Amino acid sequence: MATKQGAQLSKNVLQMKFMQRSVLRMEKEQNEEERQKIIDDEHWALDLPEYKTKESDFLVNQSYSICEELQFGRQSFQGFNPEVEKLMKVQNAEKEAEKTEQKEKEESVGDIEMAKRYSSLMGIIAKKFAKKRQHSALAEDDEGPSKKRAFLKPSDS
Amino acid sequence: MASFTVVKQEEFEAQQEKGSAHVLRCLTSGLSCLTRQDGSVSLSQGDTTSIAVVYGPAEVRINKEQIDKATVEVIFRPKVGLSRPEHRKQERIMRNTLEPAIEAHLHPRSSISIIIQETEDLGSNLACCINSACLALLDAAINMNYMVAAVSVAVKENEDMVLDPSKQVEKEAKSIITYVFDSVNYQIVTIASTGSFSRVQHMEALKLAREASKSVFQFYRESVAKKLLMSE
Amino acid sequence: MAAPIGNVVIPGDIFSFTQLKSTDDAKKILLGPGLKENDLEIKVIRPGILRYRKPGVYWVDCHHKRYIPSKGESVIGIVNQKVGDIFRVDIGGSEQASLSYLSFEGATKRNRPDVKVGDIIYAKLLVANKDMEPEIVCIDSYGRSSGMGVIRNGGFLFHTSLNLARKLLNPQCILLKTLGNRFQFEITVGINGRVWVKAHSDIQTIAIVNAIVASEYKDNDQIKEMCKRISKAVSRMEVD
Repeated sequence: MATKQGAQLSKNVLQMKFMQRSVLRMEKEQNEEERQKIIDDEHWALDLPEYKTKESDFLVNQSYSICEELQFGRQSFQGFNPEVEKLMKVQNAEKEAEKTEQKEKEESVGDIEMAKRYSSLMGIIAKKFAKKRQHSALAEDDEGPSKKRAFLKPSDS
Repeated sequence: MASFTVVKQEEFEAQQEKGSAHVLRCLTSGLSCLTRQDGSVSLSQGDTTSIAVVYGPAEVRINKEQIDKATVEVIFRPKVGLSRPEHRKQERIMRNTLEPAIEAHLHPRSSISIIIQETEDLGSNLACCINSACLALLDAAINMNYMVAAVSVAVKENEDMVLDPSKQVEKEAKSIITYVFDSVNYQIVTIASTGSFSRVQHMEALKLAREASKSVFQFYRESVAKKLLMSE
Repeated sequence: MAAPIGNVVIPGDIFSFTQLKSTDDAKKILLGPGLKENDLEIKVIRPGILRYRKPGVYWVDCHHKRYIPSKGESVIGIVNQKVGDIFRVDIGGSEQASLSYLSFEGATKRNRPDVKVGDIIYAKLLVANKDMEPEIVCIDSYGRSSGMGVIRNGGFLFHTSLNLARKLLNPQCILLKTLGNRFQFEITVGINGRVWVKAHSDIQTIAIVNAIVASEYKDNDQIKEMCKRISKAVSRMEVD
């Protein structure tokens, strides 16, 4: 316990009879450490740059059903097997949902664009809710130092 | 049924009679001529005909199983009688020719068996057998690196070269050489020869056969296209 | 030059990467069956017609009779043997597939599924690898059967070429829909070229089977015409 806490026990204490087991253990640990060191020195490693696998431009797939987008293999017509017809309906619905999702993705606004728009919108809204003083500060930030306002005399014509 | 004419039979005979003939006989093929096999073809080169069938990749017998690639078997069945040692030799030649062409490592622990039935041997039998085996492999849509085409050349006693010799020419010839080429670079895959010939003759025959092999490959392409475009 | 889509290609033909890339703006190109990557080239290893689908999917459509198992495909198998906890199922490949008795809907160690040797099974390939024995399952990833399992109550099973099986399941093929308008029946098509049909009478079953077998080299117009003829013939026979 004493060694674990890092405190060194004095020689006199260690020489006491009831401490003999601890002494033995400590010696063993030390030997072990030395041996480990020797082993580590003996082992060597090549100093090579990390092995990188070249990424292929192709994906390989040997399945026709993926390539050709085949339908579900069980089909029933005119209510011959209601269970299968139910399954067909579910499968078709899934497929259609996938298609519409894809369409939506193509047509709707992308995430990055949305974020951009939102950040610009934030500026506008912030202006609206800012108090007058802050507002002017914001405006100054945007437009740079503005000229001091002066009274413009209307012309006499 | 696909057919492709290289030269008419009568014209061919007339040319071979004359002496040196540098033409192939009429090639005709019927792909998927049998229904139960994975791939089958009946090929005729002039009057020499053979039927080749392919099974595979199918289950393999335990003692022939190879864990890294498919086992390619070639069985040759003569027109009459049992197969003799000479047929075994022919089988071995064909197996060694076809095995590198097949992508055998894509189907480990399976067998690809090719069975060739000789139906009529009227000259250039080995070439006809190899060509029919290759067409049968194409019909079965076995994965292949390249195709092979075999062309026979006979060297006559008077040193004349005859391409795709008939039986009569074969009998009288000093030597017969069968060349097999690949379809990518037209390089030699196999040479099987009987009789003696000089180095110069070999080079000349090789040039002749290589040119002829191109028309055989063209024939393969057209045969396969005819079969595949049937439903289009 | 663009890749010859729709043309016949034979083993040994080579395309460059740019040739395929030019027809497509997809990031990755998916090579389907019959094509092999070779450095920056693509090699054809089977004779067939080169096909293309957006985005970036290329494959060779070839005429096959022998099934080669491939992951995720739905097949029809026949139970051949029962070995301990697994069934050996013939799916037409070079090896028999294994099917665990636990991979059925609602199956537990106590509650074994009722499967006998000789039963027809509609299943999905879970493992299909050239170096390993194929394994099939009758449940999806949620543990539901979703149409898979033992196919019971008679019917008729027959073999076709793999092309025909794929043609039947192709969304563009109208054969099953047209037959469905004229007959009341049920069909199960395995990608491995096995088709199971069940109708109310033997005459109808035979008619449907004949229509399927005959449709291999027919286009949609010819199929419509054929279905009309067959349904007329069947109704005449049924009256007799």
